[in-house]
Amino acid sequence: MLQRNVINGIKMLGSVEFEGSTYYLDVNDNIYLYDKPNSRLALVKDTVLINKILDMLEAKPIDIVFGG
Amino acid sequence: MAPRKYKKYNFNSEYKAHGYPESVWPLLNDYFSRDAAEFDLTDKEIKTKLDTMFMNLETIEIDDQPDSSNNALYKPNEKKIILNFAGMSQRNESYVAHLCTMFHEFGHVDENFAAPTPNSFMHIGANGRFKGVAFNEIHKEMRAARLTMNMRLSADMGPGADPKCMMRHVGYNDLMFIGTMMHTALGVSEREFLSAAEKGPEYFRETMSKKFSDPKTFDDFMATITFASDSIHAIKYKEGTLSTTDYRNIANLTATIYGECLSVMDARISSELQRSEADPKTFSEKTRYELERLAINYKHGITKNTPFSLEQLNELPEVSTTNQKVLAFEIAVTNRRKLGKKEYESLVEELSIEDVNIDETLNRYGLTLPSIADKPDVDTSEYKKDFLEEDYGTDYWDNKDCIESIKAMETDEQIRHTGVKVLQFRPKSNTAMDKLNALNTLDEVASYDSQLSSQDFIEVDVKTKNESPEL
Repeated sequence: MLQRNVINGIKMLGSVEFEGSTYYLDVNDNIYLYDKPNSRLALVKDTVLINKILDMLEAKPIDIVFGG
Repeated sequence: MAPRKYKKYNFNSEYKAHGYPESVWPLLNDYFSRDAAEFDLTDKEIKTKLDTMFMNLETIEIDDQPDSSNNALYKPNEKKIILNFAGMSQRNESYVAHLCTMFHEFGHVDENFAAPTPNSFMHIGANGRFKGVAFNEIHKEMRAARLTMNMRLSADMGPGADPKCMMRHVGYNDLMFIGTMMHTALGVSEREFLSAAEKGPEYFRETMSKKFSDPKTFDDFMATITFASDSIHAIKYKEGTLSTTDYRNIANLTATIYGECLSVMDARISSELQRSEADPKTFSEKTRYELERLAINYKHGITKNTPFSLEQLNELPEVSTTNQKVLAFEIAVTNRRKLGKKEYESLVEELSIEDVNIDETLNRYGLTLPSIADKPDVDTSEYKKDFLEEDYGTDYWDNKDCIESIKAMETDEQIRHTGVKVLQFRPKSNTAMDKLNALNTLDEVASYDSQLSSQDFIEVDVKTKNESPEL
């Protein structure tokens, strides 16, 4: 269920539940995981996970660089 | 030694859901199980690898991206992988280095995709042609590298410098390379190298430094290897860090050793490289041909006996810069090596390579323009024998299917090129063609072929059957 929200000053387009965690999507296609104990947002760096979340949000996946 | 026990993964339901044929399920399960055991991957990391494998991939292309790196770029929206050689092109690296980088970057695709494409390491192991050697060898190399460099082999699972590119930086593929580079450069066997590495970094250093008269040289060597591992994709030159000579040596070593890595894919290449020095210029035509064949196969997903036309060659995206024109030219040269100088010049014109000196290009790789009267060195009976024995067994001479197959191929060229064939040479006259068809043994074909001159042949596109215009 997508909800507009502002967390830690970042405007979120929506959120999605996945494997027991809540992930947030901002306007720049960044995905965040909310770290409850520290009340902070953690930027998700796992590209595969990012694309999985984007897919759940019906957003376009991002490119992935192998090697480099 | 008893086989190592490890946790067995079973993702059959997932393979089924993604349409993977049931025959490869056990292989894939074995792949993930071995991977987890070999590199101490967590269940989550294994799951990530599995998810990656199910990315939708339809094509693999080669192109320069607007940056200065070499990498494999997966574009999920377009369902394709781009093997990016922008760094290679900018540095005007050698053709062999281009090819090696291509394989290296493709290795990154493999390590992340596991087995989604027909020509992946996994599939090569799975389809029986290479009898699974590739899979085992690659893991052995990774293990050697891991032990020596004390690297976290699952780095391709961890966060990289780019927050959106977790798979940047060091992956299995790099470590596989480094292991091979190190034991070869140290002049020790892989067994000796691995044995020393297993006893810890100090023992390794003490043992291996004896290979050098001055311990400091060994330290320099290790620093160089570390540098190489850090910049393996680009094989790049750090201003002020290494001299140009050092860089060239590393680039050459990289190319050579990576060629050795290919041995896990094809034993013929391996045996060839053992006879060559650590200089890509000494690669024989046969090795060069095999590299090119594999390269083209990888790029186009071409399977054995799939024809590859000049038209396709002209469409290659690498025909975009001078350096890449040379690449395309050299592929063409090798595939059309029965042509004379005039024909090569025509080819250059055809490919619009005005600024390439043919002789210099060929000399750079120790090649000379062969005449049609010269039998290419790879076209020996022994070499053909390898292919024929592989397909028809040791009694292939008495095998009717073998003879029929050879006749169907119509020329020696097809036998020599097996996987990739650009254009087919056939006698101009129907009389000569009929006579060739009537021959029953390879010796008879070879004998008759040697009586013909270049003027007696025309080229035929094996796919369209169209005859090429006069060259």
